[in-house]
Amino acid sequence: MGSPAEAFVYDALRTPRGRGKNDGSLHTVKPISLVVGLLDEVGKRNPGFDPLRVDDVILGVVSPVGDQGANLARTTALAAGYESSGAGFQLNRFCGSGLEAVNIAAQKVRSGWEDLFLSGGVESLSRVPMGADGGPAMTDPETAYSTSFVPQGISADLIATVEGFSREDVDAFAVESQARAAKAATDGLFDRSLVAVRDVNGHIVLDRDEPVRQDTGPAALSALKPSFAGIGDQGGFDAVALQKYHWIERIDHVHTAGNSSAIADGAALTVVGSERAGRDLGLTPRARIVATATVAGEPTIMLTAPAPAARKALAKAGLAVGDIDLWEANEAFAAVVLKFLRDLDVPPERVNVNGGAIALGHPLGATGAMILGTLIDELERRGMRYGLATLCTGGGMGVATVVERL
Amino acid sequence: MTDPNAIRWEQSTDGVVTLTLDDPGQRANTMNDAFRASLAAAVERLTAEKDTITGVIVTSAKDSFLAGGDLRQLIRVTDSDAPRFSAQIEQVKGCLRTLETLGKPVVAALNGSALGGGLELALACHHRIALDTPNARFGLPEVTFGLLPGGGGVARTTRLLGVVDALTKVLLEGNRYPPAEAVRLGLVDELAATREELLDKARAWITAHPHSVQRWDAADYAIPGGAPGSPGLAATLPALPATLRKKLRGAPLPAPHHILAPPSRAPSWIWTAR
Repeated sequence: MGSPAEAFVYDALRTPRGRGKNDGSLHTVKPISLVVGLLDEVGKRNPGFDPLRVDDVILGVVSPVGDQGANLARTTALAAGYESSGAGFQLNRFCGSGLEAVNIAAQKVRSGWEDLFLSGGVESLSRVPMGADGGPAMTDPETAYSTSFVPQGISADLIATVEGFSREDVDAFAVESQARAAKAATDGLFDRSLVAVRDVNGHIVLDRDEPVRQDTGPAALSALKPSFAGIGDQGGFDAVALQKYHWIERIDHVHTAGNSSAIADGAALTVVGSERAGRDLGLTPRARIVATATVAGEPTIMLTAPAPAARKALAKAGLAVGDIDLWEANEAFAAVVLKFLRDLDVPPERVNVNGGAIALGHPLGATGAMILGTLIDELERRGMRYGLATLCTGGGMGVATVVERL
Repeated sequence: MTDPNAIRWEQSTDGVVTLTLDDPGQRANTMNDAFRASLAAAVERLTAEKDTITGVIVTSAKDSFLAGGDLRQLIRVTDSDAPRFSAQIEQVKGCLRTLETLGKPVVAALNGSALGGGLELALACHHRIALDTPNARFGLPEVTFGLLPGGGGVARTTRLLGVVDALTKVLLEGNRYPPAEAVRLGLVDELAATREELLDKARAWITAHPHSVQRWDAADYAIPGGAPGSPGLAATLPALPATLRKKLRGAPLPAPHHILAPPSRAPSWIWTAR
């Protein structure tokens, strides 16, 4: 048996993130149009790219209903003018969907059975809000009772309580995320991946991340009210969590709108392929996908799986924590990343160096592919070698990807 | 430069403001620079003096009501000044939405034809009364010029008539309806035999509906035929593009294609007027 084919990232593109409300700039743009714009751009930026070689388009879509329903991946390929190529499917690993799409593509390439993928994700939370697809996890009371379901904000506050992260700790993390994102945007560090969203006339609708606030200081953050204290108390969720985590007395509700990820609209796409596909099309590989991992952990605390996912991926890669130069750990909530830093004992200055979802927004299905692109861009800029991207997800799962810059 | 005052303001003792479209520079009113400036000024004043106003009547001193876009200006729009032109349209749309949500009854007294932008202005009113004259026509003929109704016509006709009727009877073919047919379709609410009766009826409607809001802004308003997400309409929607393709026989016409854009499933894009 020969060694498996290597999987390479040939390009990584994304739309800006729009504020995920009905006054956000991308609200008037259909999710399919966000992805079609990226498919078009892949062709423009890579002259040798041939749609006929695309085996599959894989999109992470957390709520695949309404505007995002009926297999958006294949529909997008058709809308972009693909016909006899670009099969497509959507997948849902909650917030890890965009990275999962890249991982599935890499695994297919490494199987040797397929060669070229467009994989990423999309979510327009202003048009298809979280929970639009229903489902027993949250909306079947019998199931939610037996699985001790709590909303993610309660889980994030539970992490902070168990780990002893104070309101000051999570707010300080948010201030730093905002500062890093604002500086990165000002310095043009997102420019390589960013593709402006345009209207049917070709005019720009949005060309920069909209949730970025340049002036979010500690005073403004500390004035915000806890987001989850009310549902924790009146909704009974604190009690559900405390029945499992009986050694803590009460849940300290430290998370607010300012230290949680911002609701956003956006899409991201990576070109993942075999060495041969790249050679045939004249594409230059930017990174090699070294390893991927998926893990599942305790679902009530829910958001602690990034560290185990990272460890699993590192083990597969034969690498140690110290080998990784840069990390992207999705900022679903500040405590998620603080816990990740503590678990893996990695220096904060190597993690989310250009900010994260607290500042930039979290378009669920797209975020995984977005942060992978940010990671590869930054590895290139700094001339570094290894990077790891990871996200926590609903249901207690974690997804991770290790890349090597080429 | 033409006199920007293309809209006359008269307030009667009962507090009703009559806005009379009367472009001094032209035989018919069109949506030119003077009109846009006048509309913005009128809407600003309505907002400022809202507390002393009981209702608004929009009518015209010409033979027709408002002919819509100035084709001489429209044809000069190029790709490079499209953003500026787009901003102008946004300004008009903003004015119409402000008028529509003023919080006072707003009635269109259509003394003659209201086509294109003219009907779009009328659609932003809460009630439309038309003078029953043989030559009057009502509709959105933009598509027949390769254009789409950009001043809220797509959003408002789909809400008013339902998605299917709005597309097939108004938007995709640009039909121009005589007064009685416009009433049957629902584009116009009632007819008047004379100009005097037209204004009397407008005033009577304001008196009878002092707290009027636009019908689709009412919480209990249901779109005729259902919103695009409703199962009944969802089953019909796929036939709309197929029927259009059949009709166009593959001709590459972008306007009708893009007119189809709004009936997507999104809850807020089409179902919140903007």
